[in-house]
Amino acid sequence: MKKLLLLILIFSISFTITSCATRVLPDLGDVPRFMFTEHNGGVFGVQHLRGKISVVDFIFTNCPGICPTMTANMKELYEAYADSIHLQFVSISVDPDRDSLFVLQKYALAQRVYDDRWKFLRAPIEEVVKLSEDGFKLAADDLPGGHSNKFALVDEDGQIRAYHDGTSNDLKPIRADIDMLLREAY
Amino acid sequence: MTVADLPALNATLNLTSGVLLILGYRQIRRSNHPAHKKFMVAASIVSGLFLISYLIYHRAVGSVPYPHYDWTRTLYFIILVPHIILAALMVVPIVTGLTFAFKDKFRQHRALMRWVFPVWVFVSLSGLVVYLMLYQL
Repeated sequence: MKKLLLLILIFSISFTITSCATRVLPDLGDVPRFMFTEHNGGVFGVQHLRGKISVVDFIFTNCPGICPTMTANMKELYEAYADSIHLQFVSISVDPDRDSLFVLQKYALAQRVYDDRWKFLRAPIEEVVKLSEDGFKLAADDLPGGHSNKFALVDEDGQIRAYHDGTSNDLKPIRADIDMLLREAY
Repeated sequence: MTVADLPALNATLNLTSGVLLILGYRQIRRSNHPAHKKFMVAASIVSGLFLISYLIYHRAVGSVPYPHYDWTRTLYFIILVPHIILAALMVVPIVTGLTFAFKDKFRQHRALMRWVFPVWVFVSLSGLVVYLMLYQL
């Protein structure tokens, strides 16, 4: 009887350890084809998401509400992962009429972005809406103010793996997921 | 072959599985998936044979006490106790990890085996040390 109990205990503990260790992020959808312009003037399409882990959000530079918080959080992540060549940050403007390339460049400099680890994209508004809704399943009504507050995590195959609240003041959950994707890929 | 030969056999199986694990690990670092699979399956079979042989031996002789009472005794138990605990806990993770691989669930396989591998190598090599201390000292 004692031996049986011991066996059950061992099996329960090892099952628990196994499930914890096997946590992987789910597949939440492929990012579809798109071709936008990044703040330095180059093109940025879905192929530029591949090969790296990407953190993606939708913002606009004149946003009085949630964007400053979202951008501050992106910036914190951008600085925290400064040594990682496998991670990139992508912020897409939902206000292309006012967010010209020049405006986006100034915005990037204001965040002290001097390298290509963080790109600010613009495109015609219909394409942005399409990418947000069809691609990322994020509602894009009443733009520019109605953009999503979510950060989407995309793996190096262009597969969306997680969504996080970009306005949260606790970055530990998203960092845990980023670290998991980095470990998975490299 | 008698029961008395089993400890030496067990130690050999332990050592062999440890070596096969390390060779299999080197293969996956070189992205050589077929060779990695061969080595790891071999390591699993050898570890499985060890487990059976170990259980037969201890069924026959009971537990074998460590005969020395000097500083080596402390070292012996420091190695033996983690070895036993980890070995017992590793069966489910190893079987699960192999299952993931055979089902092509490589993300889960990698996530799990990332830490299973070093623990399994420790269990194999510590088993060899336990044998050497108990029977050869």
